[in-house]
Amino acid sequence: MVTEVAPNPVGLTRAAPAARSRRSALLRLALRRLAILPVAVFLVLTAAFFMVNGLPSNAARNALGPLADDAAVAEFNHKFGLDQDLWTRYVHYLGDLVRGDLGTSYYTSSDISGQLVRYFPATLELSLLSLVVAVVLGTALGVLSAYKSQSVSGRAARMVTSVVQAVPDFAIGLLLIYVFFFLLHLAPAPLGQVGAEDMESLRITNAAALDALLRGRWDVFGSAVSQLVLPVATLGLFYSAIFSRMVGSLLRTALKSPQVEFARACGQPERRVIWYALLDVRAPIVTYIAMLAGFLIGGEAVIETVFAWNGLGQWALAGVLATDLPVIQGFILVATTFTLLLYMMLDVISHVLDPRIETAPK
Amino acid sequence: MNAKSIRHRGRGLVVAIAAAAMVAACGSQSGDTGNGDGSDKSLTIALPAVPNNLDIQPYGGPGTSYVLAGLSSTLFTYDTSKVPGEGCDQLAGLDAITGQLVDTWSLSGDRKSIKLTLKDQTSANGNKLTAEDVKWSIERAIAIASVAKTTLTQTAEYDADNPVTVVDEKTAQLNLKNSLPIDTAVLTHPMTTIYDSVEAKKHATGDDPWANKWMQTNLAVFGPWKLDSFTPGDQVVLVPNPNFTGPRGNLTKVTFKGVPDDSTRAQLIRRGTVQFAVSLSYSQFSSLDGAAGVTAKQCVSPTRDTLILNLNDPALSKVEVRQAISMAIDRKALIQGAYRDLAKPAVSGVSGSYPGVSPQKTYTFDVAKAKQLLADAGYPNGFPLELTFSTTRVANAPQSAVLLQTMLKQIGIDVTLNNVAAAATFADLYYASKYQAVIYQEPPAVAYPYYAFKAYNTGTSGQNTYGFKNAQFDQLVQQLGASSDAQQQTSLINQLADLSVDTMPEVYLTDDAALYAYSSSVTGLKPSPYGPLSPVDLSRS
Repeated sequence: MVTEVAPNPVGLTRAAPAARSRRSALLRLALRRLAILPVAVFLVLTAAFFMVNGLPSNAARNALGPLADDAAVAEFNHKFGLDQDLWTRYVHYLGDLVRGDLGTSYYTSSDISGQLVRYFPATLELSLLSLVVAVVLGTALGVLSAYKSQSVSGRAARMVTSVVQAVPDFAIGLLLIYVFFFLLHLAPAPLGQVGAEDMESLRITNAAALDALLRGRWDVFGSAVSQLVLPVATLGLFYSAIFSRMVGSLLRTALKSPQVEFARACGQPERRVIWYALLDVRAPIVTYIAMLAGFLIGGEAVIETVFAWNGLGQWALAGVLATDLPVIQGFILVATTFTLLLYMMLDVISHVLDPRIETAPK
Repeated sequence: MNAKSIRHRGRGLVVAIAAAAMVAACGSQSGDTGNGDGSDKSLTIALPAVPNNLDIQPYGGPGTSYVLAGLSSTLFTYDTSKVPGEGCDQLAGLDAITGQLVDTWSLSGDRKSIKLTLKDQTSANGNKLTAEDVKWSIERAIAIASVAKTTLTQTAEYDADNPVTVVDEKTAQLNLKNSLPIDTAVLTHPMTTIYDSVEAKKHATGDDPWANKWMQTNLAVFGPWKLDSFTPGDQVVLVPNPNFTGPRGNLTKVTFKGVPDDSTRAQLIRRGTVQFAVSLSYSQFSSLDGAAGVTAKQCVSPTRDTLILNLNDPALSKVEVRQAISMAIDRKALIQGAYRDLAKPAVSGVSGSYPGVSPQKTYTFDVAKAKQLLADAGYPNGFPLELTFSTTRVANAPQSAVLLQTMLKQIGIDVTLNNVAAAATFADLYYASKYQAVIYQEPPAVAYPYYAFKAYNTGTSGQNTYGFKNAQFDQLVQQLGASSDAQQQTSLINQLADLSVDTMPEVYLTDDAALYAYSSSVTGLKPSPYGPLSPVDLSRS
């Protein structure tokens, strides 16, 4: 009698449950965060609604002009529901929100969701590219200042960081325009996403460079990329200074850690030693990248204005100055949702990078 | 990190920077719109902001005025060809008004209507200009735009219920309650733009009878231009209306481009990227004076900057106090310090830019007398005063405010400054009369003293939130409106200017200049007393 012996799958049977367990933990984490998201958005929007609508302003007079008569003001208030009490307006706002209706601008009568679709991609394109520059440049400067802390290059990196950090971002933008556009004639005029080109004929996603690429308009793509250079350099440079401070600070400690010392003792090349040190601090770096992305979406309004970018920030800033309440609320909704989604992804990525990070509630 | 690795990375960085610079440099050529080399006949106008909609309401700020003025589709306009400096050295008067879409016009014997015969013009949509277009456009302006309604039916006295009657296809009748000197002048303003009603009505609905939604992003007019493209908040591009018959320059394209930053607008015109830069600060404008390829022209304007004192305040309700404040202000020093000498000191209650006006009483600068007046009014030690201002109303207000603070300190008035960032907040404060004193700017929609007096100083004016009520003043304004005799009009204007010095409804500070910064390749500039330029006359060499 021959007994068949199955091959021993020890390695597989031990590894598979561990991987499954990890995937399951990740899924649970993502679902938990997703479940929290609507609640967090609801709380932020509620607070924002009462703060924004509590502002002392007369939207009708502002939109219709100072000479508007009482009948026109009353009609305006009725049209936008401003003649109702705050609580009723809040209930209507939430109801409309659930139906996907974010209201209309007092000044343009355009629907807010359409405006968000129009302006957000331009800001996202600028933000993501700026983030890449900030992270790459910031990491390089941070590594240099930490690894060569006592050398001339290390000191120079710290000095550059300090100087850039001390100058407001809009001043960096104006300086770059003056030098590269006006003096050196290297950069194009700061006239928005595609310079003097016709943006309307491009529209697909509303991000000019991407749209030009999708339409195969290489001439416009070149123009769009060149228009991106200075604003991306401005934001990238400004945020790289902050980023490099953080990387430098983390790396100084990591470079003295036992595992780095061990790597050196094993004769590993210095490039790999630095890489190990960076891996050691990857979780806080990723956290900071996510925070930076959130800052950029909500905080690049001034730079968009300087470069006539006509993105979400510039649109929201105009809305704030005109107390166009639906615009302000629409912007808060997008910025909040985007930031919370980023933080949710951050939690998941942090867990992937370092499973020791405790994410489950005790 | 070894030396080889560092060198390798350094080379990579240099290549990346060089590539970025090349891309930027290549792209920069597409961003320029020509330097007047003779081949490019397009014109780009850099505005602080391009409106988010193209309609007269909701009003999108000065950008709306520039875009609509650029369309040249109003019934009347100013012919400045016979005015000194083509309207730059002297303000065009009411006698310079001429028909734009109107061929001939006549006031009825009872002075209750004006009959208009229209020119033969055709919109870019192929529809001929008719009296129905005039009726629809004027009635629409009154129905949807409060400023138009107030200007046409209150400042001017059109019949609000029936402003226009169609006589026949080419004849329209404007119906008036009373004829005033500004009857036709108000129809030079872009808020009375005449639209192609046949085209617009195609987009009207039961809920939207005036086609407001369509009009926000479309233009159908009878002027020399048609809309090529509109990117809300970014740019408006106009190209020639092929059906237009009338004189025009050689421009093939007009672009209104939003460039929010003031210094960037100045750099763009220096580089020749744009041909007009609008609303430059005094310092930026000064910096362009003498710049190669740029013309920086200073022209007369009816606009005035003023210090408005709220008469509801117990101290400021006393005329002696207001006179003391006026007397403590060294207007010449103010202009040197805050205006780079690009304005003139206000000398009386009416702008000095109006030709033929010569009031007897003028503002004086006398600190000792100002102190005495203050003491006589019961404030020998002065009083605290909050001065509200916003750069959205007067661009150089912060500089003026600091200078006024110093000047008023000399007579014991302790000024605290309240800088308001948002235009809407400032408007809220102003129109709710929630201020003690504000720095304000008055750009009259019609460049004629009657309009300025009536719109800003009479007791019933919506702009008069400071509580000035003077029966004699209002009566003189009414007489001025009713007068058709030029000599009597001048006499009444002088009387009103003198009364303003005596009663001090406002403390006028400056008679502003209209500042035009443009490429030397541009010719044909004819400043309108209204302000925003109309590119129809412009050419590029």
